Amino acid sequence: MSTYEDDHNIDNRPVSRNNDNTTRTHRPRQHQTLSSAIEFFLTQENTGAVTETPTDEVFANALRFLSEDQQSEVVVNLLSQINDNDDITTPLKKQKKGVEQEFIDALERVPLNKIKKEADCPICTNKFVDNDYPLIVKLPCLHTKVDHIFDLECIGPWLKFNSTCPLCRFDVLEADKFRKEKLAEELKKLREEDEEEEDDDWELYG
Amino acid sequence: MATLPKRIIKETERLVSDPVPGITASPSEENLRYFEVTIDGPSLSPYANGKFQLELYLPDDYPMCAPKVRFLTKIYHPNIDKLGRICLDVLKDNWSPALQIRTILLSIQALLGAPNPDDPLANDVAQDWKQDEQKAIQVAKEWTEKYAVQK
Repeated sequence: MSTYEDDHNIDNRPVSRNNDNTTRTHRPRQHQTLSSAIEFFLTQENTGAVTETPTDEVFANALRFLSEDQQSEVVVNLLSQINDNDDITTPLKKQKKGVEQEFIDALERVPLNKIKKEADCPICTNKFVDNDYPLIVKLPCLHTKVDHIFDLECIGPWLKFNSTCPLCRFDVLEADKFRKEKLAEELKKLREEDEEEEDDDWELYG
Repeated sequence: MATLPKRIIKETERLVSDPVPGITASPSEENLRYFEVTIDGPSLSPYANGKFQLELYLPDDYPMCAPKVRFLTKIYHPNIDKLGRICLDVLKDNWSPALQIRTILLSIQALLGAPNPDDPLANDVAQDWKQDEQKAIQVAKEWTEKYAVQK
């Protein structure tokens, strides 16, 4: 005679796992499975989303779930790889830093009529005058007599991941800092002058 | 195959029409991003009279990242390992898109003239170099004679 379980192809017996004969009942299936996590991981990659941590976490969580469930060596290895990657990539990301899009947008533009005819962009090596729609920018490099100028479309992608001038390796973020420091200094000087003037006033009446 | 950027075409043309003395670089027929390179050992170095073969590959994001260069000829040098990989700042962190194939090859030629055992890639060679420079230079000469001099 077939039971309800047989008819519906359900295995109702407690499942024994591992060698220590501990019995476990079926766990409720979690929503996050490895395949759905991988799919999520891949589609995220394609859309070029900047946030990486959640996908990595989702992936790691799915793996962790699997490793608890099945004690698979592959899964354990994958997990340790994810953790290793974290350790390796984080300091690297901090080291190689580009500039904000805002910084690129605010770069000083150079009109074509101020550029020598034979001048070319150091990155694409094309002459600026040959470009029908040139957008030329100047980097704020200090300690240079010649302007370091580039096509915006050439220097933009470079500055996104590097903050140095391709010609002199000057850190363009330093220029920003330098400018702000100079401004602060001037402000301080102005304030001091104000105070001195006040002192002078008092002396008059002293 | 994707079209070759204008810059690579221009660089290739100039490498052929106006070659750097002591250096040749010619693109492969099947892949115009792959170059067969030879560099002559600098005359006042243990690599003098040697003609060293290298391969150079321009990755898809060149010139935003450096060319990949490797020695094919065996060479005894503290900054070049036995797989031919080169430890040179401009090929790694100090790459700049204003550098070109010719400038990189010149840097490699200069590295042959000025080995730097304090920043080694081949640890055993660097060790030898530091312990007994005269002997290391002698070995470098022998290797050059054996592997890099065309007979």
